Amino acid sequence: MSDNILFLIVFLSQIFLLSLYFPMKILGRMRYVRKTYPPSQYPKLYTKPIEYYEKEQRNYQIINQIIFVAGLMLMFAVWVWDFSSYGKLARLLPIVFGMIQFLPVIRLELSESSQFKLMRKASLRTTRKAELRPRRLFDFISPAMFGVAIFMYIAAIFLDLYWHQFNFHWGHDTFERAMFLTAGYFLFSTIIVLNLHGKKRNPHETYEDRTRQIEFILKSQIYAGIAMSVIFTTVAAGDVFDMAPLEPSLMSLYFQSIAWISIGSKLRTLRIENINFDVYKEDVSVT
Amino acid sequence: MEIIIDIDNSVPLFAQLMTQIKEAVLRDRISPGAALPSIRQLANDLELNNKTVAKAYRLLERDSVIQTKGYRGTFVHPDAKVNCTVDLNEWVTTKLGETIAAFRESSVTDSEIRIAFGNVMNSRNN
Repeated sequence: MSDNILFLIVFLSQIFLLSLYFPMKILGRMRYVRKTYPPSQYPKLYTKPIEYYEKEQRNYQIINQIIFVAGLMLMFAVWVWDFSSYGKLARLLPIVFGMIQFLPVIRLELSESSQFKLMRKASLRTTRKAELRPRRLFDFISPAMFGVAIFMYIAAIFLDLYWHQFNFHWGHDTFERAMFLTAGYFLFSTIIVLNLHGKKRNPHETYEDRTRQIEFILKSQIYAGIAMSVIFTTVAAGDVFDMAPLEPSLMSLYFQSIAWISIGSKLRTLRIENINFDVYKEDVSVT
Repeated sequence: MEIIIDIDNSVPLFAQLMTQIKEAVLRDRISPGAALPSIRQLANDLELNNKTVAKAYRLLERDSVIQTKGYRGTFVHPDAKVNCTVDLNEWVTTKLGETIAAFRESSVTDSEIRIAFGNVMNSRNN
């Protein structure tokens, strides 16, 4: 029962953080941008009529509200039934619900990508600029931080194997965790490489803004990798040290840490007032 | 140091890139030994084909303005400033001019020179 109460508290925090607190902050940011940088003065920032952005903003708000209410209902269900005795279902709940909570953010990211695509199409400039400076991984993150991420990956897999007598075969939890962790690190590495050497998404973005953006993305991927390793190690330790009932709470905490690393640090690091919006003005174009 | 490419300019894109890198070296905007962006990075940033940047880098390496050090990347050549002043195009034009003048002195006609030049070039290419 005490596990259930602990999970309820942690899960409630997940619901509030991902479906209320961060959406409110993001909506505030959207409103601020539209108010401070209107289409009349910053036409290149808007590739579609203003009504489209208002509708997108409303949709984002409604989707989050629905998820928030669904989360509260789910919490009530957990409270009524003794949830901790449901084993795998209990473990999956915060993961599946966390993924649903991230959907509106993923939708926003996709919408941003299509915005940049339209910006590139609409761009009339005949000149292209680039800095004659290489972008290297260690220009943005310290070798120590990178080393910690690699060490945590190896340690997570080794400790898991050690605690389970090197029992590593298809269908075993250790095998599944190792595969998920490897897939996670592979995804984070791909995002890092694409940001370091990939194409410029926003055609108007200044070199300084792009550098800040790359630094934020690289750091968040490294932190996400470390967080993933820590959670997987804790879950593996749970099997040995009889902490399995805590697993749902740990999974919920993992989603919350990912939200802080991605959304939270983005809102804190990439502050609107530091972004150069002059590039979206009409007169600064075509050169 | 910023590189600016004009896609509407009649000068080929690789030549614009070469000229600007040479200018940057001559005006001390990039120093000998400084690291340069990879072909892929520069091509992506300038929204150009990788082959265009690769061609510019290859010609700059031929002129000893830059040097590639395997996996470590591409760097400005230690003697880049001196090598930037050597214009291979001008040297070729001068040498060809002298050779053609010698042929004419020996009463070789222009059409004979053109045919011979074409034959030599074709045989070298084959």
